[in-house]
Amino acid sequence: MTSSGSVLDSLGSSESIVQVALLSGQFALLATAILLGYAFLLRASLTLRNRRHAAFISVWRPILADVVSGHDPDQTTLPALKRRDLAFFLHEWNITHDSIRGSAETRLNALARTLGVDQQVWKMLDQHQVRHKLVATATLGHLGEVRAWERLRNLIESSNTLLSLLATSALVQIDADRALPLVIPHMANREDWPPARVATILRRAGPDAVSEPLAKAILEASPEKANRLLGYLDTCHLAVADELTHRLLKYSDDDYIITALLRTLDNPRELPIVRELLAHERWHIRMLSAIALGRIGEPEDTATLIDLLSDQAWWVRYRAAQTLANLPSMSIERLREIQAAQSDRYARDILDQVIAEETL
Amino acid sequence: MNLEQFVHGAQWLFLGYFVFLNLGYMFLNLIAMFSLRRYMEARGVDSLPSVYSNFELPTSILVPAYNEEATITSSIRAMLQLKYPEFEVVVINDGSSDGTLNRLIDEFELIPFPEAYRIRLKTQPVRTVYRSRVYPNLRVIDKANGGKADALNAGINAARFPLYCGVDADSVLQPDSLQRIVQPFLDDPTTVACGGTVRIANGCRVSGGFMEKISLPRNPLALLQVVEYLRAFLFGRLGWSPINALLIISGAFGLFKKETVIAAGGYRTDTVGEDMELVVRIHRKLRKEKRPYRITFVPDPICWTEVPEDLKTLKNQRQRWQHGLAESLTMNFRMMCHPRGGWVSWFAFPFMFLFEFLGPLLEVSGYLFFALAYLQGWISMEAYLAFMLVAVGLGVLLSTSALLLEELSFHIYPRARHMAVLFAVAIFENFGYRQLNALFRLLGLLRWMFRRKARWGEMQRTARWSTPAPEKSRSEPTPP
Repeated sequence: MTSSGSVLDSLGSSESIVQVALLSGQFALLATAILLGYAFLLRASLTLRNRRHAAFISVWRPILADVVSGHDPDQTTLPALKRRDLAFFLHEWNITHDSIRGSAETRLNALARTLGVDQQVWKMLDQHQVRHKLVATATLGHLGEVRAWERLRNLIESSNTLLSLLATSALVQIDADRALPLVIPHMANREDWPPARVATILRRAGPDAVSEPLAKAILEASPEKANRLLGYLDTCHLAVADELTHRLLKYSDDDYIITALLRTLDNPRELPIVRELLAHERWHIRMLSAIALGRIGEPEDTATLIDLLSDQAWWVRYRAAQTLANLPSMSIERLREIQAAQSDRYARDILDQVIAEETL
Repeated sequence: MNLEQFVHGAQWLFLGYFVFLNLGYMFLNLIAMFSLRRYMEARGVDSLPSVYSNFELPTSILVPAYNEEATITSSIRAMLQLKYPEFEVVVINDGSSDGTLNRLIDEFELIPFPEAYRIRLKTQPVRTVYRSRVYPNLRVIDKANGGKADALNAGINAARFPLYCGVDADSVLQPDSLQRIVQPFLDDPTTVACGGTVRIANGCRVSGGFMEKISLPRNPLALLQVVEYLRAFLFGRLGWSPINALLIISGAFGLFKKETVIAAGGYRTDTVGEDMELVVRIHRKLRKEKRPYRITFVPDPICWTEVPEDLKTLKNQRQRWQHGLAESLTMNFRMMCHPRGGWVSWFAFPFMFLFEFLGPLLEVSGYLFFALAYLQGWISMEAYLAFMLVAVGLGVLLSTSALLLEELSFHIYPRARHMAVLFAVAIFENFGYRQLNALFRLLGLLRWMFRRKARWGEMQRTARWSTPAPEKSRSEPTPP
């Protein structure tokens, strides 16, 4: 009682309010002074860093350009790479590597090895700072460092999305045939891996390496995972993609898989299935079927497309009208005739728009 | 309760308010610092050249315009030159009474187009849809006046792509704005909305609708707002984003999943703060439906806007913002401490309500109370000064920490002199400007209480920073 009473008394006194206020204010001023000092230190270090970077660029960019344009690095004339310039060098080197192909890559790797950068990168991989690990992973991939295989393989499991993706990319760069059967299941499982980045890795590996393991993984995966992998079908050889599409369209009833397949489907042998799908209950499947019909359809499909002009979904009507307008035998006059024959206002309106687009 | 007890209680209330407000912001600041560090790490490695892939979602840029004849053509021309694989620009002329529509028709060779326009969101009648002969990806919707929200709804009806980006007609964009703001949608498919950092264009040099040279404004009022914007965006928004509790996406530049917005009912036309209200409503709807989603934010400076340079315009703007905030929060008050609301309901919403909605009232009352109490002899000079030390000291601390975040990340203002000026501003804004702002916001709160409706925010624009596009760009359109 006594103690709580004294707390209340103390809360009630003017002195305690003033004390709390003074303490808070002093804390704020002290913290501000620290932040200010830190900010000025940061700015000073940035200025210094910019100067060093400018000096680095003036020496090393011509050397990198020289190596890329066909000259082997000459150990006798190369300047020593200062320890403090390693980060600048790796940044420039990786950017240059990413924009070249062929023998220039080999020469660039030789330059890095001549300078002992490969040894430094191994140390960076062991460091705690994620940024160092990221740069080291990208560099080891570009270097095609086979000895790093197990280390990189472990990094695929990392919860850091970027690090796991860079490790995947590095493994594919080191040995695509060995890496893809290993990493494709991860591509199906890792929901945090952005499809655009995965597709870039697969494109870089090329269809020879991608086709077989990807097709196998799609056929063995659950519908949800297969759907995710189907998005990368265009990185396979056309024949493999065609065969897979045929098998899946025949046996799968999963809407998402059908949707993914309709987007890339380009073989006339799928025409009967596409015609069936034009009556699907989901509008986006009808829409994609109408678009697919434009790629693989026959003259007799014109009547079906005309029927779709009265579909209840705007996008189905619009895509059907566009497909109709793009048929080889179609002309503006013929479109106008079709329009005049329509009793449905929506069909006439959508043709109005597509005719205007065609004549613009 | 006697006078002494009342004075004690009031002192604790106001002191507690200032301390808790700033502790809350410091907490956000810490989250923002952590998240910014991760972002900058990834950004450094991501700066390697990236290849366009067909995964980038096509995007419709919606530009509501009302009496924008001075800047509309250069803005649209810049938007047409954005670096992005597939996008369209839809300008919605909301019944402008000046020559906005004619400028657009002349500049972009617009012709009326018989579009089968779909009415998915109800709007004021659309008079004509135009299409450009020169740019196939440019359309202009001419409609009867209905306000910005109504114009955006009409734009959503006309948009063809799954994502849409609402952009103010006077916004200055970076060429890679769309690429940057679309990234969260690629990284996480559950993303439904994303905002970007808006910076101040006053004092900068803009050419052909793009930022050419970044500098600080000479106008003192605009200069004060530079620090304010840094604070608002670098930790006001970035702090909320990692915990998926972002309640505001600026109308000047924000990207949304179209179907999500349509399912939520589009923009409400009976509010001034349609951008915030929509975001709060989307949170509410998706939380209620227990659907996984993300509303996120990219800290890159991707959009620049002109801020008021005179007190009258500033007052109107702040009143409108506060009015909008009040409407957005009260219209979605069921979010407050909702059992299924997560961080949004239990932290962001109460924080906004206590410190942003009621904030101006408590802040102005606090200053008045302490001044009055001192003058009446209820408190000592020491107590009065101690209170001012807290109010000003914590304000300076917050502004300084925002500048530190800027220093840790983007270094938009390149010269050391710029940062020195901004640090001086961070201190001096607490002696008058902040208090004035609180007063303007209190007036906005009162306006909301008396339900005075505001429509398009009319801003006195100088656009002194903008120079027209070089003539050659006329003949070099970037194809979509």
